[in-house]
Amino acid sequence: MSTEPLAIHDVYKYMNERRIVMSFLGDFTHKVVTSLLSSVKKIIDTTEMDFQLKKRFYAVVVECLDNISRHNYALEGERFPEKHTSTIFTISEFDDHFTIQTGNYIHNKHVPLLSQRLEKVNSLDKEGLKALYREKITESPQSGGGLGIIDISIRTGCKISFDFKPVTDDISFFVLQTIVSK
Amino acid sequence: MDAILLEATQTTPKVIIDPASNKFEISGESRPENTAKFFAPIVSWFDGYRSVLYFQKNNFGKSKKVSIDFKLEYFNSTSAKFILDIFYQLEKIHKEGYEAEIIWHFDARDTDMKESGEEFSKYVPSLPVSYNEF
Repeated sequence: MSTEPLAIHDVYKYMNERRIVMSFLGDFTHKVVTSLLSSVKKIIDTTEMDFQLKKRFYAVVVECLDNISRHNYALEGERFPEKHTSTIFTISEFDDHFTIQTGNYIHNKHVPLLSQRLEKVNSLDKEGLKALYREKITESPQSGGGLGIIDISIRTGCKISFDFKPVTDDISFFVLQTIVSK
Repeated sequence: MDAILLEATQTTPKVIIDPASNKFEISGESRPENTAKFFAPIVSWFDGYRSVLYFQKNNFGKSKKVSIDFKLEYFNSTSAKFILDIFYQLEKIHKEGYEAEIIWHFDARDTDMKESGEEFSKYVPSLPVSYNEF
C-alpha cells in the first residue's frame, strides 16, 4: 500500500497555481457530463461576465465535452487496457479568460482525420469557418463532420490547441485546449 | 395524428406537437444523449402531417396554419442538424401550398441565438421565418 498522505496537497497546490476552478478525472458518461455541466452553470452564475459571453462559454464547454464522447477510445466498445479509459477535463479561470482543457485516449487510426480537421479549422478566418459550418451541417449526422470544433472556433474566435501524445502502437492521448474570453 | 408532448429534461427540450390545439413548440436546452433518437420522430411527424393538411384542404377548403415556435436557450451542434431538418419539413409543407411559418424566439441579450435562426432560415428561403425577442 502506498503511503503518500500528502500527495493530495501537492495536487491541490498544482491546481491552484494553474487557476484550475474545476476538474474531473474518470469515466465520461452522458450522466457525468450532465452533472459537470450543472457545476459549470454555477461557475457561470458567480462570474461577472456579459450574458452573451456566458452563453458562449457554456456552449464551448458542452462542445468540448461532446467532443470527448465523439473521439474516445474507451467509448468505442473495443477491447482496450483498463488504464486507457480515463478522461480528464479542467477549467481554469484567469482575469480575462477561461481555459478549457480535455484529455482522453484515442485510437491511432482516428488521429490523421481528426488532426487534419483541427488544422483546417485553425487555418480559417470567421467567414471561412461559417462557410465550412454551412457545408458540414447538411451532411449526414452519422459522419459528424467536425461541426463541434467548427462551432467552438466560431464562438471563441481563438485557435484550438491540440496534441496527440503516443502511448502505445494503437493508442494516443488526445489533448485539446480552447480559450474563451470573459 | 397523435400529439407528441414531452416535458423538458436537463438535456432535452420541451416539445409540444399538438394538432388538436394547433400548437407547435420546441423550447429549452437541447443536447440529447442520442440526438437522432430524440429528433427523428419529430421530423417524421411533420413529414406525415402533410397528408392531414391535404385532407383538410380537400374537405374543408382550407388547411390549418402550421406555426412552430422555437424558444431555445441552448442547442449543441449535433442538435443543429435536426433543427435544420425541421425547417426543411416546414418548407416542404409550405411549398405544397399549405400555410406554414417558423417563429424563432431568442433572449434579447443573446444575439448568437438570433443569428442561429437567421442561418437556418437561409436554407429555406421561401419559408416565412420571423424573430421574436423575449
